[in-house]
Amino acid sequence: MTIFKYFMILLMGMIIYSNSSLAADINNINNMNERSIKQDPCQIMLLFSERENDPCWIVREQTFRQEVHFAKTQTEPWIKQEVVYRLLSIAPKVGLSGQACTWLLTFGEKDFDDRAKNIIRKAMEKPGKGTVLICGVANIQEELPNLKKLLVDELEYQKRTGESWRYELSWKARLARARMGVKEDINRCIELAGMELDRKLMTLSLFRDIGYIRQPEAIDFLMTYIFSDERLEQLKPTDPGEPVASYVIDILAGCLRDFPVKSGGRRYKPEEIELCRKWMSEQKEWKIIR
Amino acid sequence: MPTKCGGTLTLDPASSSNSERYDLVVGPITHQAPQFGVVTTANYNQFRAGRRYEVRIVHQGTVYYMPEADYDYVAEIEAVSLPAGVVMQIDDADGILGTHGEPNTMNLTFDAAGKVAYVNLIKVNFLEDASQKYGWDNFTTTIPWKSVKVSDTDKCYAQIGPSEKANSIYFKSLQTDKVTVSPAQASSTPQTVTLTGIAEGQADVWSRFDSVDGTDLSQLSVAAYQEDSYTLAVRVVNEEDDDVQEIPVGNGKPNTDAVNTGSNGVCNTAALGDDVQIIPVGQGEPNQIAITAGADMILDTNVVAGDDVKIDRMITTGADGICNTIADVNDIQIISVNQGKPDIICINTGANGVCNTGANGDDEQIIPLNQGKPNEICVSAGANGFRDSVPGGDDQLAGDNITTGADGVCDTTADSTDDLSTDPFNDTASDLQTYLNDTIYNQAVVKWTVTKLPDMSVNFDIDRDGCLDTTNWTTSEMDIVINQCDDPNRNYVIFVVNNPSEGAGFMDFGQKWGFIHPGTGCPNMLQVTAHELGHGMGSLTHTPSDIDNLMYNYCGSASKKLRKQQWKDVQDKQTHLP
Repeated sequence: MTIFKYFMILLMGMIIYSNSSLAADINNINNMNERSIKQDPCQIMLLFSERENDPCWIVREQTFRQEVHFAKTQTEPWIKQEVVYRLLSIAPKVGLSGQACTWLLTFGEKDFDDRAKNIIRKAMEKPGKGTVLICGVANIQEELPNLKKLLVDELEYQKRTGESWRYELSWKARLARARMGVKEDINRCIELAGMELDRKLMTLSLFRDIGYIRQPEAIDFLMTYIFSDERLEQLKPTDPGEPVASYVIDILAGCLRDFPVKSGGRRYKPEEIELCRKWMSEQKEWKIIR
Repeated sequence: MPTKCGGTLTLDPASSSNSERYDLVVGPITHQAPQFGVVTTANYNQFRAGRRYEVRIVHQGTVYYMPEADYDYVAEIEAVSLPAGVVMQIDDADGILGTHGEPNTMNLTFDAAGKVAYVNLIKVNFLEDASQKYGWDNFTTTIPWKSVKVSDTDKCYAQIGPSEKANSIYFKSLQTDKVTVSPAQASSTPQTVTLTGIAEGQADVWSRFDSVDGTDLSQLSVAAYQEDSYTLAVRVVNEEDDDVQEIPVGNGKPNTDAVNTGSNGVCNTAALGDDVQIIPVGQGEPNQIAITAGADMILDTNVVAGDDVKIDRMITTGADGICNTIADVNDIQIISVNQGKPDIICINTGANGVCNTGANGDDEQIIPLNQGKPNEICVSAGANGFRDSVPGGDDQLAGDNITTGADGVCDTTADSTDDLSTDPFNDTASDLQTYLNDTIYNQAVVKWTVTKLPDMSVNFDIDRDGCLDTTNWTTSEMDIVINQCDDPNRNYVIFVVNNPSEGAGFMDFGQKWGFIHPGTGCPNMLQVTAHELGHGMGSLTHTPSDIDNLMYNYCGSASKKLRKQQWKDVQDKQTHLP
């Protein structure tokens, strides 16, 4: 009994040590951005790279998260390009495929250099949904024919399989082509989205998809919903449901320069929604972030 | 209910002499022609899929005028209406079924005597394995669905009936580029079926009779998903209450003026309770100027009476505070004889700040009996600068403070102790991570990494009702929690807060932040957390008609299931690199 007790104490000690060590690691990673103000970006990138293969998934995830954050604060193009390259080349190999894809979609066309585009071209030989969307962000025009091969007649597909087209690779390919400026696909994406009668699907899924396109026609489409007074369904009797306009604003805030509210939170107050409506009404042309 | 199968039993005594009668016995059914030598066919639907029925032919006799039996007959069993996915197969090793005996020939022995054949109504059901790693859905679809992670395996069962035909059952995936299945051939029942995710997509897996390309029996649909990974932080949030009780409840401001000596300057009142007698009864304020010299600047009063004291050109009241001396006509009598200096405080309220003493004589009651000094600060905002307390009685608000009101007595208890929320998770929230990964979101091939953040005390109860206002998404009080307690380095953050205005949890569609509320009647906070993440991460709606579903509206049941469409909704939140 005594031996058992001592063993347990030792084990607890190990766990505590392990957690505090992890916390310190994460803290160090999170502090890198603060240190970056004073230090050479090359040194910061080196520090990040040392932790990209850390045995702990959380450390790796935090490292790449901070790398993305760091890149977004930098003006030198090579830093964004380097981070994009690492997200494409390293993150998928260390269990961060999905996270990396999400982050990559927040970058712009100029952030993908030849190294990054070559990785995407290689991946397009056996494309997944993420690859296709990133291809659209990187605007690799020579992949348009390959993307076209992935297209299906969405309505026919849904009729035949009973499955919604919005989950399928073909839809992602059409979105990518639309982002790359193919008018036919821009129009088709908007047409299909406009046919969706389920307001929840429209709001939670298709707004995001159409926002991804980053073309004036897509902004025009989303703009119509910013003036909507509809709300999503109630989750509790006292909750009127979040305004559909709030979701659109969240998307548009990530698409347009000088948008009056920030993206990434929603919970917009009525006065903020009104502000965005007014701002949208006053714009003569869209300054789209690509 | 077992499936009933139709079947036709035909007994045909094919004798030209029409002399005999047989029973065709198939399991519980004994089929016999009503007359000797008559062939009859009948349909029976008592047979059940997945069962094996013994078949016997029983010779029931020969007509009396025949010298001996010739034992010819025709016995046939046919399936006329089998349910989908059921195959009838007959084992007749001794050949007792079919046509026996030729017309106009005599069989001297009954070859089928004591021999049996079997009718097998073969059926395969794919069933959930309770120890599976990923998901199973046979609730929302007629064909069961299984989820599996790409580059991993999972299993289910194939329930094969009858068991004797297990090794006649084969399994085949029609999309081996997405999912493979093993074994190819069953060996027993229930047969463990292993499914391996190859690439993201869907595959139809069939059980078939006799070979991998044989007759279709039942279908299993398999969805292979890349694993999604998310980070989640949980944080216990307490309501910060740090008001300061400046005056105890029921008290007033201590030692404030309660009674003065009135116009005669003599205290006529004895202090009661904890009131403090500053000037004894029958006395006045000591050493007050009672007489001064007149215009000639010479003190003419020569007789100083009592304990009065002559000081230079003045006479003071002395220690008893009462003027005992009569001034000369040339002097000025400031305090009348036998009086003291008027309106001097002779009693204060003492430590409790409440006046317990009623004034006597001409003494003046400054603070009414049983009251304190009005409008004194009894509760002040603490270090956070925000008043957390609600005024009681006649107490009044004065800026960030609460005062004693007109009665001078503090009726307000300062809210000075944080309202602690109950932590439903273990020290590292590993219990939550295990629950999310092994019980709930594994069904949709989603992996969570959960981090426990340090508890925080936040001043969110701005309407001071003791509750977090959760009436809609989001209230000002919820915004305070979100803005002050967020962790920007996580995909999702769940705040644990007791005492909501309503509900056991709240997270709107597609949100990063969610709230769960222990002590609200839902005993399983792990389940509540998973449910709210379903709203926030997967934008999943409630499932009022699916009580076993994680997203069922009400807590209390073992609602843990995610269905096939929900797998997709959750998966659609994120896309993957190759």
